[in-house]
Amino acid sequence: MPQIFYHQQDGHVDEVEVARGATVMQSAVSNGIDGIVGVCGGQMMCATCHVYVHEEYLDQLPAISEEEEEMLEETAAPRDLRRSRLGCQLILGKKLPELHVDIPETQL
Amino acid sequence: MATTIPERNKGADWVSVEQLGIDPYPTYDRLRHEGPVMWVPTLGRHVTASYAAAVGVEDDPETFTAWEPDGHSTMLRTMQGRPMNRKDDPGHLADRQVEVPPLRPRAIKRTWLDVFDRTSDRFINDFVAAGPNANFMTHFAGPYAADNLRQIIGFPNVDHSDVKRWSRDLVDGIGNVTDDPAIWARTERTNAEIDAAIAEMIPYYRENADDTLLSGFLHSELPMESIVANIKLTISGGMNEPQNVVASAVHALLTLPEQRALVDSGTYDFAAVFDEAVRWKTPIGMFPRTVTRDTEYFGAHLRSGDKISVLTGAANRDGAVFERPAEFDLARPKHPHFSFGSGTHMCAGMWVAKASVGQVALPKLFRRLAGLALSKAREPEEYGWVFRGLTDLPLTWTSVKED
Repeated sequence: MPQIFYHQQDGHVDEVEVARGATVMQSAVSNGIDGIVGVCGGQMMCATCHVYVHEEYLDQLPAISEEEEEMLEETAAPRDLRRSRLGCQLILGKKLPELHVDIPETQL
Repeated sequence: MATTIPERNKGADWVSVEQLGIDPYPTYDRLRHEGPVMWVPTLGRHVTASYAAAVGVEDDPETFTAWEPDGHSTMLRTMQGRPMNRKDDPGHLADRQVEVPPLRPRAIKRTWLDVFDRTSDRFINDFVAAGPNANFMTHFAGPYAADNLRQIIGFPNVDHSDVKRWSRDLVDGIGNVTDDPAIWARTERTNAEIDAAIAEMIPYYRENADDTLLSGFLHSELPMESIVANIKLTISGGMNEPQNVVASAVHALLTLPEQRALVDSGTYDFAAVFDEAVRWKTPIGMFPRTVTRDTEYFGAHLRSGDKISVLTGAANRDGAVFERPAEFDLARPKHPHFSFGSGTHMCAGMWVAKASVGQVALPKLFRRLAGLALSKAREPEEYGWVFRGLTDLPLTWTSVKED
């Protein structure tokens, strides 16, 4: 099963096994991971599932859509031009079996 | 045998609709304490009064449908059609994908911030012209919200006072559970006026595309019936929220000097003021869903077909989530409020409200009106629960600056 590693600000790492097709946002919300909110449920309306993806996974990610780009301009914590993504747009599965993400300081 | 659902108990038979209008918060606190999900016989529906129960409804659209059948919905009758907030996905999403782009941050930056800037200057001037002790609601908050809405929808052919009147008529229709024929007469006249205003603009938008909602809708594949219903939804829902939150934010900063100092010192900006004001005095206090299966929810027995209303204003005063929830406090620990709902039905106008109030109107009001203060001439008044806000906010100022 795909795995997501959520790196918290305090250094703690939450490790979650997820079904194929699950997103970083949904998996965080359903497993009670702190620091990811996901108010809008994944329709790119709220920018509260912001994560920083670890460098080594960047080339495995889907391209940033116009809507995602628009929301990344609105994140509460500073945007990292390389590593910032919306968790709702990162889908685990064959193409992305494992992912490490840093949780930002704030989503609000 | 199917699960037996116990007979309905008397529920919260102590709830008074009149009291809800005067001050809903003591009722919300008791409902949350005794529920948090309770049957309210006077409303003929269950209500959710906690934060968790509110979010849980929106997390489970299969159990809590937004769909209301024709003939059983004051909103459908009021709007003479079905807007997106009375549809589930995928139908809701099809409408929403057309409604949302003109209301997103890019369009706001490209087009609407300039509009908000001009509109706020215009109505600050009108407010000043009305003289000291003027009611901020009727001379600024209402016209500002209505004229922004008029321009975002794309109605150069009507006046802001029309939009304000239409919004009030539609809201009264949605709330017309007692079937008052005088209210239905008003909503019918308003429907005719809105239909005519849209029809008048169709040739223009066929030839021209811009960031207005009408332009977006008329260049989409959506049927005219959906377009008209969603424009009416936007008129009914897009007016009260910015009108009431700009006023409650001003009221808070003028009555709480230590909070004002946090803004003056730059510790918090007006976007933070907006977020706390919209939690503290939630402008849109309720939205309805229908239960699709017999189930138990937070200890309440719900039957298939029951109506259930999410009390957003009660969710935002839940002490389990917000410490000292009745206080306006910019420094409180950050937690999402429920004023715009959550999930797929989250308010499409959220970014517009945030920009028009938090980014433009509030900073401009405090910049232009030196010595802004509550008037001693009258006490502020507020009213309502489904839509709640100040009705009279008399203010004074010492001098006016140009911007």
